[in-house]
Order: sequence, then structure tokens, then C-alpha cells
Amino acid sequence: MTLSVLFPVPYVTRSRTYGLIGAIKCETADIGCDHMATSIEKRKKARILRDNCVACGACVNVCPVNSVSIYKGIWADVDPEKCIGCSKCEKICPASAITMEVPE
Amino acid sequence: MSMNKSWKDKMWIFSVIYFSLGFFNIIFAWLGMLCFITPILMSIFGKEKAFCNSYCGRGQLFTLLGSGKKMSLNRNLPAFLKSRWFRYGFFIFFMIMFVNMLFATWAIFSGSGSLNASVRLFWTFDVPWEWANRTGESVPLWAIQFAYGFYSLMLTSLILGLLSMIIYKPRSWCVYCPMGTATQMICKIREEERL
Ligand code: SF4
Ligand code: SF4
Ligand code: SF4
Repeated sequence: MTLSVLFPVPYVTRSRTYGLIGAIKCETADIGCDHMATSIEKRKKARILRDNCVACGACVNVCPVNSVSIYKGIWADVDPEKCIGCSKCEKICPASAITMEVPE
Repeated sequence: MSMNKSWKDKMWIFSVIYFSLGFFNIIFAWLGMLCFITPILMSIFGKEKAFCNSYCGRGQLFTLLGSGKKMSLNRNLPAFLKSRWFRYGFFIFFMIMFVNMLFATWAIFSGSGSLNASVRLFWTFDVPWEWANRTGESVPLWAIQFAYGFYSLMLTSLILGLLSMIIYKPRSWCVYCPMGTATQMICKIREEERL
């Protein structure tokens, strides 16, 4: 999780969506400002809908950081530690078995 | 490792060669049995879905054309094509048609039928294909009938796959591919037995 001072509204870049959640003490706290006005940057990550997955492996082949594997030939598994949320797998999945979600 | 990887990524070439060979000489259709037997054996003997995931030439061809050559419209498959009953239903239908083809082969073997030297597309349309029957007397007629029947199945499923690749996502065929469904089922059964 990255903490940073961010924009007041969620914004979208070409490849990722950043969202606003929660609030933490901002950097201006050092100089006496204590309004809780900043937010945590949280990235979406791929999540597999196992019931829909046909274990074709298309997602494995497009993932730039090798965070997907096929569990015993039954469904795909994402390693949330490695996933950078690029959503390439979501786009390629022919079974619509991947959603991009902010992990709880 | 990288040599190994590049070789594995070129399996789509075999798909292209397969269909070309069958165009000139139908007897090569027999080679397609490899696409039936290999994935099943691999999943039975613990290789899980390695065939689909790494070796299937057809899957690679769809990725290459759909993603690489950008031929795919990249739309979502309609829900019913993704549903379990359609996938299993298509698998059963495909197997029934396979057995039907074996009966046609048997008819020739037992001398009660005559050779149909055409490729039957979508189990309905006979496309004349006599020129590819060039083995002469050296191969028994039943083996040639089987080759025609099998090539029909392979070509029909290739066309379905190409249409799915263009209209939907590149590998949409893999959602209802009978071999994909069968290997995933085998993996599920193996896993249930293990637990
Ligand atoms: S691309 Fe989709 S259906 Fe294929 S293995 Fe990945 S999650 Fe499963
Ligand atoms: S979102 Fe990107 S990084 Fe995450 S699993 Fe999918 S392809 Fe890999
Ligand atoms: S699902 Fe069928 S076409 Fe797709 S990779 Fe597996 S065997 Fe090949």
C-alpha cells in the first residue's frame, strides 16, 4: 500500500484507475496543519471468478509480472502481492472470469 | 530455457501445416488425432492443462491473429455461450458427432457404405474434396473415410474458432472447445479424488 498526498477526486490514467479511500494525516502536519485531508492510493488488482474460469491460460501469457498461474488445471490464480493492476488479463479473458477490484 | 520457450511459442505453425496438408492429401487428417489424444493424456498423467496453457497450436493461432494482428473485435462472449450447460452440451454434441463419424468409417470397413470424398462443414454442408484423395490402393478405404470425417470436424471447429476470434475475444473458442472442457473436467475429477 502506498501512502501519498493525492488529488481530491479519483482520476484515471491510461492504464490504471486510482481511487480515494480513507484519510490519513497529511504531510503538512509537520508544520502544524492537522486537518485529515489526504488519502491512500489504492490500486485495483485482478480477481478471478473461479466459476467462470475455463483455465485456458490466456491471462497467464499476457501478465507482464507473471502473477497469474493455473491452479491444477482448474482455474487461474492471481498473486495479489505481485499484481500491478494493469488489467491486461481482464481484457484478454474470453470467459469474462476476471474483475479488477480494490482488495479489501 | 529461452530456446525451449521460443519453440513452444511456435506451435501455431503446426496448426497451419496441418490444414494445408489436408488440403492436398486428406490422409494427413489422421495427424489431428494428436490434438485429441495429447491433451487428454497430458491431463490424465498429471500435466494438468499444460496443453492448453503452453502447447496448443490452435490457441496460439487465435492469439496471434486476434491480439497480434488485431483481427479481433474483442467483445465479450454472450452469457449463454459461457454458461456451463452450453460448454458441456457442446462437448456432448461434439462427441456424438465423433461417434457418428466412426459409424461412417465402420460402414466402409464392413463393406456396406461407399466413400464420401467430401468435407462436411458444420455437420451439414458437403464440400467436394476429391482432389485430396490421392493415396490410391495403398491405404484402405475406411482409413480414407475416417480422414475425411476427421478433417471435417477439425475444419468445422477451426472455422467456429476463427469466427469466435473475430467477433468476440481472440481465444473465445477456448471457452467452449471440447478438448478444453474435457481436460478441465479431468483436472477437476483428479483434484476431487485427491481431496
Ligand atoms: S483467461 Fe480467463 S478463463 Fe482463461 S485461465 Fe485466465 S481467468 Fe481463466
Ligand atoms: S492485472 Fe496485470 S499484473 Fe495483475 S494479474 Fe492481471 S495482467 Fe497480471
Ligand atoms: S481450449 Fe482447445 S483450442 Fe483452446 S488451448 Fe485448449 S485445446 Fe487449444
